[in-house]
Formats: sequence, structure tokens, C-alpha cells
Amino acid sequence: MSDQVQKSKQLASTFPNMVMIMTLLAVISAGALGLTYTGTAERIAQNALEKQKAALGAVLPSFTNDPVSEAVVSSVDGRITLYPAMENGRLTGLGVQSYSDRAFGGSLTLMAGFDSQGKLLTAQALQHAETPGLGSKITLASFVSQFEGLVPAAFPLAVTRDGGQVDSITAATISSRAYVEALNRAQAAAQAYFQEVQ
Amino acid sequence: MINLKQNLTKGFIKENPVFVLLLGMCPTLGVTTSGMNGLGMGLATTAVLLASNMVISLIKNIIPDKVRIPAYIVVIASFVTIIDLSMSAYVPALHEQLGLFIPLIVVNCIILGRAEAFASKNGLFASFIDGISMGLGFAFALTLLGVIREILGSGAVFGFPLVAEGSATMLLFVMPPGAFIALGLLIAGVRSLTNLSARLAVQNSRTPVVSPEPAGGKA
Repeated sequence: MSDQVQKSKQLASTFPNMVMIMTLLAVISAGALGLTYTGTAERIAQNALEKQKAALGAVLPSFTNDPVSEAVVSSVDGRITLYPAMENGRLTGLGVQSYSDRAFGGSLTLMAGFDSQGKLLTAQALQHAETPGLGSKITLASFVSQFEGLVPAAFPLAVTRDGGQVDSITAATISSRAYVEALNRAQAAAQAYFQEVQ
Repeated sequence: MINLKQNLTKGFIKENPVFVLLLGMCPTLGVTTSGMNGLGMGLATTAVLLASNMVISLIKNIIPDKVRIPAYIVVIASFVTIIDLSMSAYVPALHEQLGLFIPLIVVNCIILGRAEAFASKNGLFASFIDGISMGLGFAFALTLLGVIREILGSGAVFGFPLVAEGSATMLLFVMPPGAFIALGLLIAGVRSLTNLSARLAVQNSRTPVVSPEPAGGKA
């Protein structure tokens, strides 16, 4: 019954009515979205920055500068970003944001930290879409710790199945391979950078 | 007002979006790898459903019938984007986990389904109650499924490990096939429970029902 009452009250589906209502709705929703965006944009940017800083802090030796604002794009690969860590004007290390497109879940990015001698300190995955419980183990210390302290001569790395020294994660060789590929890229970019600044 | 309690509770078992209506299966299967993910997705969907139900019940009379679906979608998509941005700003960790599934709330059948089937025919308050009921029913189902998959697949509940690290768990359950298996078993369980309670209700009411039957037959 109430259904019929409402039907009679409802605006008729004439062309001007439809255009007017849809335009009105679009304007209101665009306004609401604009307000939300301006309200959250700063905070979202800050979150991304904090995540990057946290990753840099975890992989780099001590630094007094702001590596994020001094970041440069690698001359070897335009998709790799380098974050130089300085202490009292002296280069103490380099954070390298590297990637691989051959991971099981598409692409992965990681942050690798090198000291000024080019030794790999440690690495941390920033973004990945690997299978939970299998490939996602690339974030665990049990996998990552084997890369800590590798000297430039140890590169390029390869997993044992490809004749290298890296122990891949059981049942996640593809993820391990992608991680190693990203590390190799990072190391090559870091090497080039150190040669350029010297 | 008699309907209030019914409207409020229907979303949990009787008309549960996941177990009974089988709507919104994509996020249900996709994000429930852990209890926390299920709860987060469920609450995000509840927020969208609540807001869109209320707005649609308010503007239902000025929406011409022929453009009602696009109009509803504009309203729903706006709320989803607002939730998406807010989550990215205030709960970035959860937002990252849920990833693509937050924008996909727009096409979650349960939202448009409630707009079309309920909010476009009922008042503000009833639509609000319906949004709460259906939304929390959806969140309940996703959390339950998430917790079951997390226990079996990762040996943990809401991130708290139940078994020693490194022990063998049924990894299958955190992967997509495990989602189908766990959901299938859950639906079967809910169905058999509702069947059982319906049969009990029939048995209990049989004696009073049988006696007036001859009178009804004669009339």
C-alpha cells in the first residue's frame, strides 16, 4: 500500500527530470569527494612517506640527512630510486628501492640498504602480492637474513636451483627468484652510483 | 514496530547475505584469509551500506524511475570512495591488506540489492535498521569465514598464533580453493541448522495446528 503512495509521489521519468536529477547527484557527489580528498590527501601522503622512512631506517646505517628529499633516480634503471645516507657530509650508505616484475603475484618492490663499501646490509619488501603462507615468506627474517653482509663479489645472486647460493623458500621458488632479481638490480644500481660519486 | 526486531536480526541468519542470499561472493572469497581482514572488509561494507541505504531512502522520491540504478550507483560509488580515502588515511595497514577489494565494494551486489529491494521502498529509519542488520550480518559471515581459514591455514586467531612458528598448517585454507571449501562447509552447516530449527518449530506447533484443521476444512 505504502508502495503505491510513494509511486504517485515519485518524480516522473521525463527527460528534463532525469537530466536534472543526475546532474544534481553528480555535482553533490563530486563536491563530497573533493572535500574528502582535500581532507585526507595530506595524511595519505604522510603515511606513504613514513612507510618509506621506516623502511630506510631499517636497512641503512646511521644517517643525519634526509635521504627521501635527496633521492635520485638511478642512471642504470629509471624505475630504481636511490636514497643516499649521509653523516656529516660523508656518504655512509645507500638505500635502493628496487623491483621485479616476475614475482608470482605480479610485481614486488623492496628496499635494500648498502654500506659505503657496497656491502649489502639488509633488505625489506615494500610491496608484494605473493601467496599468503608461501611466497609471502620473503618478508621473514629466516629468508632475508641470508642476504645480510653479502659483498659485491657475491653478486649476481641466484637461487640454488639456478646454480646459485641462495636458499629459496620451499614451494615458492618463483617468489624467491623475483626477490633475488630485485636484489641483483639494486646491487647493480648501487655499484653504478658509488662509481659515479667517487 | 513489530518488524523492528525482525528487521534487525534477519541479516545474521535468516537472510544472511553470504550464507543464505549468496550475495557479495567476490570479497567474501577474496579477502577472508584472516579474521582481521574479514572483519575490516565487513565493517567497511557495513559503513557503505548504512550510508547508501539512508541516502537512497531519503532521495527515493526525487529519483525518476528510469534512472534509479545509475543514480544509486553514483551514491554508492561516492560513499565507497570516501571510505577508501578515509581508510587509506587512518588505517593504512588494513587498507593495504584489503587493497583492490575496497573500491570493489561499489559492485558488491548486496549494496545495490538492498538499495533496490529495501531502501527505495522504505523510510529512513527502517532503511537504517536494514543497513545495520545486513551489514553486520555480512561482517559476521566474513569474520567467521576469516577466523576459520586463519585457524586452519595459519594456526592463528586474529594474528595471535595458536601453534609454534614453523609447524605445518593446512596452507590450502589461506589460498583461494580453501576459501571455496570453507565457505561451502559453512553454508551447509548454516542450512542444516536452519532446517533443524524449522523442523523443531513445526513439531512444536503441530498439536495446536492439527486440532482446528477439521473446522478449517468445513468452512
